[in-house]
Amino acid sequence: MSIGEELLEDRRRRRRAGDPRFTEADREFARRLTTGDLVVEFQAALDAVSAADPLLGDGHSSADTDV
Amino acid sequence: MIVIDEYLAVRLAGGAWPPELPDDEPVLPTSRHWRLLQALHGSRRGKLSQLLDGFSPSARDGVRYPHAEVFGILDPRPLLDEAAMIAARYGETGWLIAETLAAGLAFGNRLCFGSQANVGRVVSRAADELGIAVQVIGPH
Repeated sequence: MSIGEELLEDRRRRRRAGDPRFTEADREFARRLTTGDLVVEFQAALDAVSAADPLLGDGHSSADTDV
Repeated sequence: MIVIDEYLAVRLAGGAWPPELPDDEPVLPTSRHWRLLQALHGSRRGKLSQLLDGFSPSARDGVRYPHAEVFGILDPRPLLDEAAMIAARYGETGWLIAETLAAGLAFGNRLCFGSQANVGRVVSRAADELGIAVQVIGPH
């Protein structure tokens, strides 16, 4: 493996390791928000931010997906 | 670069790289980072603010200032003109949708979402018309 390939592989490994500022508890909470029991609440909260912010605009909510 | 949404950004920050995600540098559109930041700095009564209180202070810093080696935030300036054209074309879009679609066009004609529910009706329709592939990685 060339030096360039080693550097790229190191970069790839760090990218996949996630943010070192996230503790194990944070990682578990991130999992719950994005793929676990808090997914519905997370989506509702994102939609609520969009609905309250005129800059972000309309046309986005999870309810739209079934139309 | 691969354009991602808020779900994938949080997943990647948490070190859970989905195997289906292309092996490329992920970037989050500014408007989607803005949604997370609004929640982080918004009223404690807001739904997302309450949810994000579940993170430690250091992880909250990770949301505020994403680790550059994990995912980047897209510079919106080169995308603005195209985003405005898309907004005019589709009529019912704001910055979130227009920037996301413009980013998808600019970076490989593809968008990666962490949830089908986060795609939305307008993005689904416009992406199809614009030839942008929408990949959903996560809850369907």
